[in-house]
Amino acid sequence: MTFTKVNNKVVRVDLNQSGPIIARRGAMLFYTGTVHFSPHQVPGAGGIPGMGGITAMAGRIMQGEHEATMIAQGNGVVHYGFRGLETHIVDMSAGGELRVEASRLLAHTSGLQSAVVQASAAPAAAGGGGGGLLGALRGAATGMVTGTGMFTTQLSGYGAAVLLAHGGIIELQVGGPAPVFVDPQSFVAALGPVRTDLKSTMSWRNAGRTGGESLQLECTGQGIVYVQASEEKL
Amino acid sequence: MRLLEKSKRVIEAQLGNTSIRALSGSMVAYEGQVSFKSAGFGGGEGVLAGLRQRATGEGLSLMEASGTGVVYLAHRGRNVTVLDLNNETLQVESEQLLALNGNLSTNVAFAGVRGGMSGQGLFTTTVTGTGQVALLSSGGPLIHLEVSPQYPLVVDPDAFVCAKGQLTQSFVTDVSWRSAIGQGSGEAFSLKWDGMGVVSIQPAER
Repeated sequence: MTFTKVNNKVVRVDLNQSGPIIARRGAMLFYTGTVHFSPHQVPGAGGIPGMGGITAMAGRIMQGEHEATMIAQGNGVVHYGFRGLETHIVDMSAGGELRVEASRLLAHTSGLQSAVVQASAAPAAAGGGGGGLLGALRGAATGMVTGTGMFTTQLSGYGAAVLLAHGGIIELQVGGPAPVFVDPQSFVAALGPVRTDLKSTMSWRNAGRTGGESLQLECTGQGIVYVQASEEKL
Repeated sequence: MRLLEKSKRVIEAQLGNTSIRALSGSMVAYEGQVSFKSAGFGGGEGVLAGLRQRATGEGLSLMEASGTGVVYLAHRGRNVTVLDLNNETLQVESEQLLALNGNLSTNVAFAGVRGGMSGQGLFTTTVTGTGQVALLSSGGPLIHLEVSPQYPLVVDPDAFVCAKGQLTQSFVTDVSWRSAIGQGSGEAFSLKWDGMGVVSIQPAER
C-alpha cells in the first residue's frame, strides 16, 4: 500500500516507494528525510474540451472546483492531515477512475491523471446528465444544490488516493440488485464507472412534507460510492 | 427493521416493507425502494404536537422512511448507539435522538424543575414501548452509568443524554457567594438521579 494510516486522521507515505505525491497545499504535517515541496499545476489543465488554458482555469475557479496543490519529491516519509478530518485511502493499484470533489481530495500519487469533468457525467459517456443542454442544466442544478459546483475532479490510472470526510466514510457497492441513493451533502466520491443523477422527490403534493430528504443522488453503474457520516460540506 | 451500528457514526436500518422514524435530514444514503415523508414532531400527533413543540422548546422533527431496502443514517459525524427498549420508558434529550423503530411512541413530558437556568428546559422527551432507539453522542460513545438506591448519581445537565428505569430526578444547585462575584466553579447546576436504572451521558458538554 502506498499510503498507510497512522490513525483515523493522518496518513503517511514513503516517497521512495510511491514516487512524487500531489497533495492539497498546507496538508503536510511533518516529514523526515530530504523532501522538496513545490507548487503543482492546476489539476486537469485543458481537461474540458473546447475550453483550453486560461478560460478553463477561470471557469474552474468560478465553479469552486479548484484547490491549490503542491507536489512532494525526494527521499523521505511525509505525513499528511487536514483540519482534523477523517481520511480514507482508496487503492487504485488495479487501475480505475475516481471522481471526487477537489475539496475532499487530500493527496494522490503522481501516476494518476487528474482532469475536471462535468459532475453528472459518467466517465464512459460524457454529458451523462441527459446529454446536451439538459445535461448541463442538470449539472448546474446539482452544483447549486450541493454547493459543489458543476464540475468534479476525475482521477484515472494506477495508484492511490486519499479522501477527506467529516465523520468517517462508509463504502457502498453500486451495481447490486438494489439501486443506491445518496444525500448530495454526504456524497464524497465514486470509484469506477458510476453515474450520478440528481433526483427530486418533491412535487406540489408533498411540498414541505418530504422529511428533509427531497433531493437525492441516484448512483447507477458498477463501482463503489464513498459516503460520509455527516451532511457537513467541506 | 432492525437498527444496526454500521460504523461508529452510521446507523444501518433494514426495511422489509416496514417503516422507521428518524431525525429529519439524517439520511446519508439508501439502497432499494425507500420513500421519505415528514412524520411530525416528537410530541405526539397532529396540530397539538406542533403547538406543544413551540411551547416547550423540545424541538424534534422526525421523518418516516418506509419501503424495502437499507437506509444509512448519520448526523454531523456524531457517534451513534443503539438501545433496546422492552416495554420501558426512556427519558431522552430530544436533540440526541436519531432514529426509532417498532412500536415506540414519543411524547413530551414535564420533567420537574431542573436545568432551567442552564438552558436545558423543564421538559423532556420520553420514548415508550418496545423496540430500538438510536441515540447520538458528541465527543465519543455513550457512557452508561448505573444508579441504585444506595448510590444516587449526579450528572452535568449539559452532558446528560438519556435515562432508563425507575428514576426520579432532582436539581442540585451549588450557588454561593463565590458564584455571585464571578468565582464560581462552572458547575453550579447539576442533575441528581435517585432510584434504580441506567443514566447515559456523552463525553462532551452541549
